[in-house]
Amino acid sequence: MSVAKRILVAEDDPVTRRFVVSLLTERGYEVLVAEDGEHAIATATTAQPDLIVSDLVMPYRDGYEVLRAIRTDERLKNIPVLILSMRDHEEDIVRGFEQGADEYIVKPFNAREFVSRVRKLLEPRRA
Amino acid sequence: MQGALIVTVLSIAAIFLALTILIVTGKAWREFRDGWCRARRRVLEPLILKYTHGSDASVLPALGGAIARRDRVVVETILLDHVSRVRGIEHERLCRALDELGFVDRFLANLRGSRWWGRAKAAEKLGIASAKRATSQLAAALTDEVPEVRLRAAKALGLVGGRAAVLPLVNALTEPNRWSTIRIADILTGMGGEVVKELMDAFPKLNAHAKLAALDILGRIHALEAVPWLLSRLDDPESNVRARAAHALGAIGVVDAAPVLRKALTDAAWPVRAMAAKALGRVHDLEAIPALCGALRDSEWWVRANAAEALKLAGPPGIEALEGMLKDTDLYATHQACLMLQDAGVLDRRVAELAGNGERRSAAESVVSRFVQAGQLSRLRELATAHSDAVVREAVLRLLPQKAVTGAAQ
Amino acid sequence: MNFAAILKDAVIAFNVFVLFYFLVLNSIYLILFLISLVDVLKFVRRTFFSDYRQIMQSDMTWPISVLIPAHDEEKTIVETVRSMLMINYGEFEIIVIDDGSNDGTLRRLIDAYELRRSDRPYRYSIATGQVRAVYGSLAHPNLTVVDKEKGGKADALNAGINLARYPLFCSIDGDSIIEDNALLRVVKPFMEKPIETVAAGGIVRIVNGCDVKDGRVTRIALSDRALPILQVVEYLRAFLTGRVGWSNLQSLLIISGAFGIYKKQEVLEIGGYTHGTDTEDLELVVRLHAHMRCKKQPYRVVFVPDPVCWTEAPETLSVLARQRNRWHRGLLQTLWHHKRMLFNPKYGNVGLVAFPYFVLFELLGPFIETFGYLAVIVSYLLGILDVQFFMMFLAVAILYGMFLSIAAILLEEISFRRYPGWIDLTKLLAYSVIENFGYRQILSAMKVKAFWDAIRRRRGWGRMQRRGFRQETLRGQVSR
Repeated sequence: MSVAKRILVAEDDPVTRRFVVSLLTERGYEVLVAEDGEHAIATATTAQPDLIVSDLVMPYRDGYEVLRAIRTDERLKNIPVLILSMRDHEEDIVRGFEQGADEYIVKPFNAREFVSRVRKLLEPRRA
Repeated sequence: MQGALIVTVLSIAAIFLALTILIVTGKAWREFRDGWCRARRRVLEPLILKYTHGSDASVLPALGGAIARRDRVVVETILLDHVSRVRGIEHERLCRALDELGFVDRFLANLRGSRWWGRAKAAEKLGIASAKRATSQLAAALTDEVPEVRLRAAKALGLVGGRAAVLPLVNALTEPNRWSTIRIADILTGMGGEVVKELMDAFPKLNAHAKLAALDILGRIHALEAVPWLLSRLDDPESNVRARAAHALGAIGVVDAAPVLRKALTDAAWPVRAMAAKALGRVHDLEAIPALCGALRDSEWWVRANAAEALKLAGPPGIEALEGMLKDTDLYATHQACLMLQDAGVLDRRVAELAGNGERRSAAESVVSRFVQAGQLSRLRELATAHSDAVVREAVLRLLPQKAVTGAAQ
Repeated sequence: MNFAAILKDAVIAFNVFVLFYFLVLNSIYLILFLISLVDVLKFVRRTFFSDYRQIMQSDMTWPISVLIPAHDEEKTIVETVRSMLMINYGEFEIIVIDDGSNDGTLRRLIDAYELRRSDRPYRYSIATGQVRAVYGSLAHPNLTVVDKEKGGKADALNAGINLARYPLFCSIDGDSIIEDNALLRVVKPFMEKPIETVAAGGIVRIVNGCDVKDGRVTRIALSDRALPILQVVEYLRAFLTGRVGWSNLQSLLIISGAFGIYKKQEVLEIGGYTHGTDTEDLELVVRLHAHMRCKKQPYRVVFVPDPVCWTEAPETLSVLARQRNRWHRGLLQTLWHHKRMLFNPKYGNVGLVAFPYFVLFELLGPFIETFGYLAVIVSYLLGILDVQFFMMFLAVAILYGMFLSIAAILLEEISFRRYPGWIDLTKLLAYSVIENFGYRQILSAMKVKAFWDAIRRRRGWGRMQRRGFRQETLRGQVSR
């Protein structure tokens, strides 16, 4: 069977982080963890995950900066990014997509739905 | 003297020592307890999460059959932490676990306790646990003597939801002395669509303040089903009510409201006119453009400003109308049109067109000279010196009055 | 007429007076402490599962305009703005006011944030110095920079208020660090009582000795040097046992200039900050009190012990002296300017409680204390006083004070517990004792000098030697 997909979870709230990590691990993914934006960018660069799940409000570099860093790096720019954030205002969502996010889920979130979207983003792109 | 002195010194020293001991032992105890809780959490949390993500009917098997008494606090914290961060099936499962393990019963018992912070804590936790069966007791807690308890009970009802929770909250709106209207309004807004019917039903009984709050709530939750009712509020004898209803209709943004809003543009009270203009901006009704142009001549600044904004939001036909208003005889109207066109970047666009030729250029010249006539010179002055295109700068300089030019050169 | 006997009686009488002074002063502190204790306990009980998330997402949360006045801060301004842009809050705007900087402050900002000249209209609602330009940022629509000619901090803040969009504004010092959730916490009083609350302040803590990375405090620890630790103890006492109490009595006069939040409407009504004072924040709050009392509306000025602003404290005695000199001069100027409020029932608790306290214990107090110590010691040495009296004096002046310092540490431990280490706790306990043997006395002497300076109408800032901790990571070590 195929190798387990690798997902990077960037989230500063420890409770949410543990929840998301256990959720994804349960579903068979390999999960890497970052506690802030800077750590996230560093981990993404070295580990080259298949998907990034990122919060917006994080210390050191926020989600937008992480997006920008990912999208401007040649090796990383095709990694799908799913934003998982408390910010639910229109401007934030629009801005998230404009900066290159592939999905935007507002917290508190539906876990099963979240997993479906993750699965969808990890599917090979339809031509 | 001697005795008093010794007593004083000794007592101060004793209190001093006691405080130090208190601090040190308190800290030691807390560190021990925190460390222990963290250790237990590391063991228990993965088990609970496993249940949450899975499909077992009960949480107990995952926890090994039963929970030790001293683990209950840790388990409770884990469940409450996670249940507030998630929705959907997993949320249901966590709520069920809280119930099954007896925590909800414990909270309900504490809600009747004698210490106020116990009751407050319990109310808060019942809300987080979305304990529907606690609704009636939470509603009763709305009349608790301690404000903090009342507040948390209200918030809990907001989280629990359901008609039985909405009714007591709407009733709280009628008691402005006990409750901060804004707080209740916030909670009701958070409950979404299920509050609509109750609000409309309770409306006649609400006091002035609460009526406005109710209208605001309907606007903020985009209550489509309330639109006909809101439209009839525009006939209310109170001008405040009419104004807020107009505002709410704008927030909901339904085009059906446009005809009535257009009529409200001629209301006797200026707040109503102002809100009607604002709402028309949100509703994007092209037929309202002539009426909005009329509103640009209104005697009240807010009405004019909102009308201008509404015209801007109406897109190209609105911009065209604003440029048309530059020729109007009413000074207020031309001034407002200038401000809005500048704000929308139209002035800058027109100035750039001065470098072209033909019809566009003459149209641009006409617009710019209207600005000059209206006395709106600051942006033009800036462009005359700072614009990147020399042709444009020259063209602007020619259109500016001589005095303004020397002013810019300083 | 035995002249010597009369003199002796007078000296004894003075000494007794000093004794009573200390007794009264420390008892007032005790009362304040007890009030604060009750309040802090209630406060800590309040926030279990924080509803900060809800506040942040709620539409009803009032948006805030954050004002950052800056002068010659090219080294740190970009970092400051960056960390402010990332704070946890729903809707807010940042307005940086470049107060006629001579260095590259403005240029750095323009480059870092892609600033372009904006058409945003600037209304001189409060008269300020000339505003040269207003800039907006494309990348960050909620960032505005004002370029104006030099006018001083008060003038810069007024310019910011003129431009502010939102009903609340927050003034922060350029080189203080605001904690992530600070705005969410400090706005709570406004959410609870929106009409009554006109101003709120948070607590200022000392960053010396903490690890700072990227404009964020990563590890809280005490400095290795004595002076900052003494100030930590002092601040804990002043804030946790002092301001909470005053706030409770509705007589809070001081909201720290480093971190305060105000209702724009009211501040506009009183004409904004005033020039001509060394402590414009204190003056503003006092004037706000006066204004609200005249309006005869219920209002409140609140101290919230939770939201933290970290600020750098002086590490040498000379810099400390300059800082306290300025503070005390400002206090005297403000008290003098508003002297009509003293004992005036029209001004409620502010006039009847706060003002007398400040006049008696902050204005006259330092004199009584400084000369009192001297008088008692000299009297004892000359044999005019006996041992018992001397002991009593020490007990009342010093022991009592020690007890209050340690009570503040207790309060800190049961409520906020920012200093997790045992070593730091020991240091705090030790210094709360040491504080009373010299530090407080030196502060009193500084206040006496400040009074003298104020009378001679000396004014000015004095440059504080800031090490600019934002870019460096301080590892609890101070290189000097």
